[in-house]
Amino acid sequence: MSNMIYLQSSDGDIFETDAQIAKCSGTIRFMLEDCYMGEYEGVLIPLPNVNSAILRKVLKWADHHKDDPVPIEDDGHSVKQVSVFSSWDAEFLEVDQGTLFGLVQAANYLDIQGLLDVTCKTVANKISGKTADDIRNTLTTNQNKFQDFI
Amino acid sequence: MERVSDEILLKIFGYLGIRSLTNCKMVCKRWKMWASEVKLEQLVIRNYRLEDSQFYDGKWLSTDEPIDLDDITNIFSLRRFDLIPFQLDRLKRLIVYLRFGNSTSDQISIATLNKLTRLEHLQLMNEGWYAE
Repeated sequence: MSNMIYLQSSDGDIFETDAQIAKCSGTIRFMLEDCYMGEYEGVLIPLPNVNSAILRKVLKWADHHKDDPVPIEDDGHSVKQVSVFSSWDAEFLEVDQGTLFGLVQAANYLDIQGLLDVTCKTVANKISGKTADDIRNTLTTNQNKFQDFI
Repeated sequence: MERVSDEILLKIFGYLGIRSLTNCKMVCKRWKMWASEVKLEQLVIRNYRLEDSQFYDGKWLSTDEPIDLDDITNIFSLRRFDLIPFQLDRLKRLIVYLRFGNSTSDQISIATLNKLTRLEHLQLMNEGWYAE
């Protein structure tokens, strides 16, 4: 049977998830394999830097990508075209800016390279081809000021 | 939520072409600093001003997966290649569209080429003559 573990968000909510799916996160993989020595059935991992809304999105992304091939490290230099930007990802990332940057931060903290790549690419696409004024306007919304997130 | 780290900002900028990066430099001080740190891997330049957009759907854009159509710049003329204000030591692909004319003093110095230690692909395209 699969190994279920529990992830606790910053808001205190607990998410049950398959360890195999959670292991797309380098941070969680390290904890499970090094701290719990592989005996991690039912453990609870607190994630104080990720709130429930973002964690729910991250787990949805991880579940969809659970069968992706593991990206190969290229002698220390990351190759930037590793991740495939599918239409599923594009739709998944049609979110407000707070959520998008929340996902960037979570992907970075949890060390999920594929998610970090597609979220950063999505931000880049918002910036690409625009003048400095247009960039500032694009990154400003009713909810946030320019440079709240970036 | 905190702002993204410098490392992530640099990663985001890494997906942009030289023209977008030039615009990014004018957004604010922080962006100016980090946009200048981007190590370009691909650069497509030409030594003449492009008046229409016919090249944007040209065949050569399909060589690898360009994230950003504005990898093509007409901001920098070739004679100023040495002055391109970006780091070029990671450059893998350099594609140059050349148009010749009476005033052609366009050149890339050997010193600059010697810095391109990672260059794998150099393409020089003869685009004819300037209309004088």
